[in-house]
Parts: sequence; C-alpha cells; structure tokens
Amino acid sequence: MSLDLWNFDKDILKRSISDMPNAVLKEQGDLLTEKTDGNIYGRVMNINIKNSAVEEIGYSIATKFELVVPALDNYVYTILIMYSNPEKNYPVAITIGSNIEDDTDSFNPRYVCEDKKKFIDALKEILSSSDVTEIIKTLYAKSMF
Amino acid sequence: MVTIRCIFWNLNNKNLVTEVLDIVEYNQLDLLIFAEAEKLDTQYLLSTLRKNGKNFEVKKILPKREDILVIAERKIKVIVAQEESHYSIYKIIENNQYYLLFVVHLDSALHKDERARNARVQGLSSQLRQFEERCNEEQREKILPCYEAIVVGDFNLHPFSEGIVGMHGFNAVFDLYKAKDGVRKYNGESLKFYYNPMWKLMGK
Repeated sequence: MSLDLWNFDKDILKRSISDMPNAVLKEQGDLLTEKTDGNIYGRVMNINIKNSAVEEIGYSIATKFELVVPALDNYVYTILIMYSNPEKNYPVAITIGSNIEDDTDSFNPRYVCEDKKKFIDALKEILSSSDVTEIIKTLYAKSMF
Repeated sequence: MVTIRCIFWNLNNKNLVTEVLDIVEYNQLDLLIFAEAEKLDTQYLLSTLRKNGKNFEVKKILPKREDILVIAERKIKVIVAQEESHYSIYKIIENNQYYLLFVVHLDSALHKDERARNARVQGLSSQLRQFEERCNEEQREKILPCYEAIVVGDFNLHPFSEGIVGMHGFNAVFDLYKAKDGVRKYNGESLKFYYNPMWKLMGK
C-alpha cells in the first residue's frame, strides 16, 4: 500500500473549492449555458498580470468572465474582470465595462470584496443588472436568427 | 488571391459623410473602418451607397460603443468577434482565406505620455496574439487554414516607437521580406513579425 502523507481527501478538496470566487463564476457561467440552451455560454479565463502592473494595482491575476456566442462565430463579450492574488481567496476587486490594459493603467474597481458574502452580493448586482440582462437578450436574439 | 479594398479613417467626431461617399466611389472600396465615428450619419451613408448600387452594412453586435465603426460590403464575410473600448476584432473569410482584423484606437498624447502609451501597447499586443493563437487552435482542430492577422487604426505612436517595433510590442518591421521570415527569437521566446507599411510614407 502506498503512503499518503497529504492532509486532505479528494472529494473534500473538490467540495471545499466550490465556494471560491472562480468556482462561483464558473457555476454562473454553466447556469447561463443552461438557461440559454447553449446559445450563450459563460467562460472564465485567468490571465497573469505583468510584474510592473502588479506592484501598482496590488493583484497578480485577472479573471475575465466572458459571454461567448457560438452562433455568432464565438463572439465574445466581457461582463466583468475580477482581480485577485493566488495565495488568498479574498479580497478580490471587480471592474466592469473595462479591459485589462485600461485597468492596469488606471485601476478603479467598482467593487472590492473582502469576503464571500460581499463577493456574492456584488456578483448578484452585476449579473442581474438591467445592462447585463439587455446584453444577454440582444446576443440571444442575434444568435437565433 | 483575394483583393479587398479598404480604408481606415479617424473622423475626429465629425460627420464627414460626403467625403466618405466620394472616397468609396473613387477608390471602389469594400471595407470602411473608422474611429471617432459617433457623429457619422450612418443611415444616410448606407442609403446613398445603396442607391449607387453598393450594398454595405454596419458590422456591430452590441451598440454600446460607437468609437470604432466597421462598414462592409455584404458580399464580403466579415464577422464581429469582439468589441472593446479601444479595440475591436473581426474575422474576414474570403475564398478559403482567413484574416483577423484588429482595429485599434489607442490613447492620445494629450492624455498619456509616450512611455505610458508604449507600455499599454505591450499589454494589448499580447492580448491580440493570444486571441490569434486561440483562433488558430480552433482552425487546426477543424483542419482549416490559419488566420493571418492585420492591425489597423490610430495607434497614436510613431512607426519607430517601442510599442510598435519592440519585441513585446507589435514587433513590426519595415521590410516585407524580413516580416515574411516569420519569427523573432529571444531568450527562448518566438514572436511573429508584423509588416509595417507606414515606413514607406516617412519622408514623403
């Protein structure tokens, strides 16, 4: 029998990450796929921020939460960008209507979430906003015709 | 070989629809790419072109931003891939040839100094390369030709600026044959060249 010196079980590990910001985003992306019958799906993409910018903004990873529309030849729309550090789940900072180049140039996050509750509240506000809902309706309509 | 005749023009927030119509007619253009196009009377432009037998359409998915505007002849397959605040990406497919058209409108010198503008371009050029690579991965899976990338726009940089010629910028050279060589290698990294035709205009 092999020697297992790790202090975690595989299933417990999987369950323990389900509340982390990236996992929450992925879950919302999967829900979107389900609710739009696959016409729009949510994609989570991690990008390392270059060193010079990390010092300025205080975060080293940008996670883009994107809408992808296969019927429009994989048209991509970025709903939000979440900034974090790899060694901690929180805090995370969220920018909207921006891109990584603009953010590393002048960092003005709409939300800074110190814990899971604040993150979920911020995400709910963003995803259920009239702006995002209108965008989804437009993309859904265009994907159908 | 595909020939698509196109123009890029920063309209400086003016409604230059008459001038645009003249240029389209004179040069028999197929693809119109604009920056600062918010004031352009697009409806008048399209209806006048239609009366002249040219069937153009606006290439836009979400109406949220008007700065970059692409209008193309319907006969050309132009697909909107991404629309961001300072750049948009389009796929052009003609006669089994695939192009990625990156349209950029970068910060003016009025708002940022050259060092900051060059630094920003390094991040942007990396994003565009990653996009190109993702598209070409999909093409390879489907056993289709890879995309060739073209970047047009208002860079607000000189052809010799670090963001344009630098390896971690656009890595653009003035010699077509050098660009066709393929890649620049440094420290284990290989980056494709762009060919920058603007050098031919220097000194004219």
